[in-house]
Amino acid sequence: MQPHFDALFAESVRSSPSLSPSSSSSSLSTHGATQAATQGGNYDEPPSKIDLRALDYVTDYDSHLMCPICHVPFLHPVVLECDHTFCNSCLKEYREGASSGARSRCPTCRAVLSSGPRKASRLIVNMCNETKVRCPNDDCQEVLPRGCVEHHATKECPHERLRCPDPKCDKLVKRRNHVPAQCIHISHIECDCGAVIELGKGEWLRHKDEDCPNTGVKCEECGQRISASDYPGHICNPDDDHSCPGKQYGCTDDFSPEDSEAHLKSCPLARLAPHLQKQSQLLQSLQEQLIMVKVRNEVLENGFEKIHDVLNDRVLPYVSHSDHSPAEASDIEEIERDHIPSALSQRDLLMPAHLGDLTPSADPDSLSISQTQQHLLALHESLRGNVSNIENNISTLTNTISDLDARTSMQIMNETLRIKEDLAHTSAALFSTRAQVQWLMNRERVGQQQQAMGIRGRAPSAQPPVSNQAPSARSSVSEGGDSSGQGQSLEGQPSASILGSSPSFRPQIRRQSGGSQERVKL
Amino acid sequence: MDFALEDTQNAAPGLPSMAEQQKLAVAPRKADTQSVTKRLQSELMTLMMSPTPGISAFPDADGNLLHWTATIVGPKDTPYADLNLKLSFEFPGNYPYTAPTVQFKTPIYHPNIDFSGRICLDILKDKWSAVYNVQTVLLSLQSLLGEPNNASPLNNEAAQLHQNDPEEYQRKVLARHQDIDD
Repeated sequence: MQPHFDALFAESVRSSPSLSPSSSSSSLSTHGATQAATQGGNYDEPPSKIDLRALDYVTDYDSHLMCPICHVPFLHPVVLECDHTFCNSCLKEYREGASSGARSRCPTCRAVLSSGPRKASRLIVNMCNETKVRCPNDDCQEVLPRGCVEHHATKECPHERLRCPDPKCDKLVKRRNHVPAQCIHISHIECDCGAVIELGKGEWLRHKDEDCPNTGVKCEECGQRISASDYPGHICNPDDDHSCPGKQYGCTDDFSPEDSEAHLKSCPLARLAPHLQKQSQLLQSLQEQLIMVKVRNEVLENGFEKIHDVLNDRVLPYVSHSDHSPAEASDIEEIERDHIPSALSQRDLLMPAHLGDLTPSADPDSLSISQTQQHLLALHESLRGNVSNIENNISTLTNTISDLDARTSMQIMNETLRIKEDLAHTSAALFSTRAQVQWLMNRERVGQQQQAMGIRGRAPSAQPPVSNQAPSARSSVSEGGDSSGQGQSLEGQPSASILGSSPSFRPQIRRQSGGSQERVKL
Repeated sequence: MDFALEDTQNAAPGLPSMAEQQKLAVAPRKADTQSVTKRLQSELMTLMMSPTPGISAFPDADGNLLHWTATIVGPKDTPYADLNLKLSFEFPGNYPYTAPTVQFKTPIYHPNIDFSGRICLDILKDKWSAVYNVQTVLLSLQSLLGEPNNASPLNNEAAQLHQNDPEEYQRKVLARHQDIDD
């Protein structure tokens, strides 16, 4: 495998110096001369027959391959010391026009250069020559790499214009029509379409009439001239093609197909034809609309009649009744509620909704009736609304009142309880005061008795009767109350007696509060 | 190159080669205007296909590709911020080997620009290089707006104000500016 590759490689290397099939000896010698020039620093590029910068570059190329001076891919690129690349011719031109100071500097970076440019690497040259261009010869649409375009355009391209081989003839002839050592201009003529026709045999006219794709052929039936490429698909319609468009509007002129253009210009009916056609279309559409309107009108009339009947039969008596006796409003309301809705529903059944809108414009009689009816209905509805509003108000008021009632009774209860409490305290205080007063009064009485006894007998044993007298006095005061603490109460302080005796008064208080409660309940 | 060699090998002697020589003799002058047009078309294509913000240029409506009108938007953080400045470009027949003539059409107050719009910028004069193009010139002018060269002024008053009284400078810039229609 490896030796095979090596052999291939060697072969390609051997063939690479001369891509062209020209003789190798001359090629090598010229190549050597070029190399010598390059080493001198300013090599001459081979003169080109076509302007490669003016070519149509059809595809995008890498912007780095673009010469910053001429803005096309490098042509015979050279590299400066500072590594900037330019086309050889661009750099040359730049140096010719530049001042002496700028001449030895790089156009891009202004670096001072001590040596001349050197040829750019083969890689860059090849990449630039790979850019696709269009053949510069007119009519040729060939797209090919720039490196090949010169060869194509000057050696192969069938559209390349060559000088006529006859030195006396100064015309050009396309390569494909070129005949060596013969001037075809004497005996032939070159058509725009590229065909070369021999003169003197009537073929030129035949070509123009039949073969030439640019001038086309004449349709035998309609006389129209069509390009030859369109001819197979041509559908000729002689009637349409050469009859006056004003014919149906009264143009009676008879003319041949050839005169049709002249006739179209002169005939006023032909010029009016589009306008007339528009008018007739408009007329037709208007007629259609009229029929529609008629149908609709009939439907409407039927509807009105039915409404009229309904109003006369049912609604009118009530309406007139209500007009004469406004006092019986409630009765009317009742009637309306019962009867008008049914009438309305009937009307709805008879008339579709969209026709209902148009009712008032037709019948003045039914107009006034329906207006009255509608007014009454509206009135009725508003009254109904008012009533329901009032009902709502009443119910809210009732609610508020009961709420207030409950609150008031609660307040009264609370107040009463507080008063009862106070009353109980007061009566307790009163009772204790009475007890003290009685005790004091008893002592006074005992003292008086003792004085009386002393006056009577002056006996020192006056004490026992006092102790005997006290319980009897107390029992009369207590009025059947609890007498368990009588000993303490006799000797105790008045305040202590109030606190101590208070439980004994409870039954009385309870009875009193019970009474007040009963009274509140009542 | 190989094709060219081949040409010399196979070219028929006599008249056709004479014609070729005639063509070549005529070619340089003809190719000149063509190459200018070609290069300007290429620049226009670049400006259209990948526009730079704040910069635009287009040939005048008269169909002559050698006259262009360009617009610069004043750079931010300069007294010219958001001002639209129009310029005219006149390309010589040997462009790009000679600089185009560039002038401001919009009235502008700047140390390096005089009142008729002429610009004092080295790359448009002696420092011109063939590698410059419309886009690079416009970018240079845009940066000149923000950083004037006060050492070589065309408008002395502007140069002094720019150095000593930036507020008054800004006021004068805005007072002088007025938008122009095409």
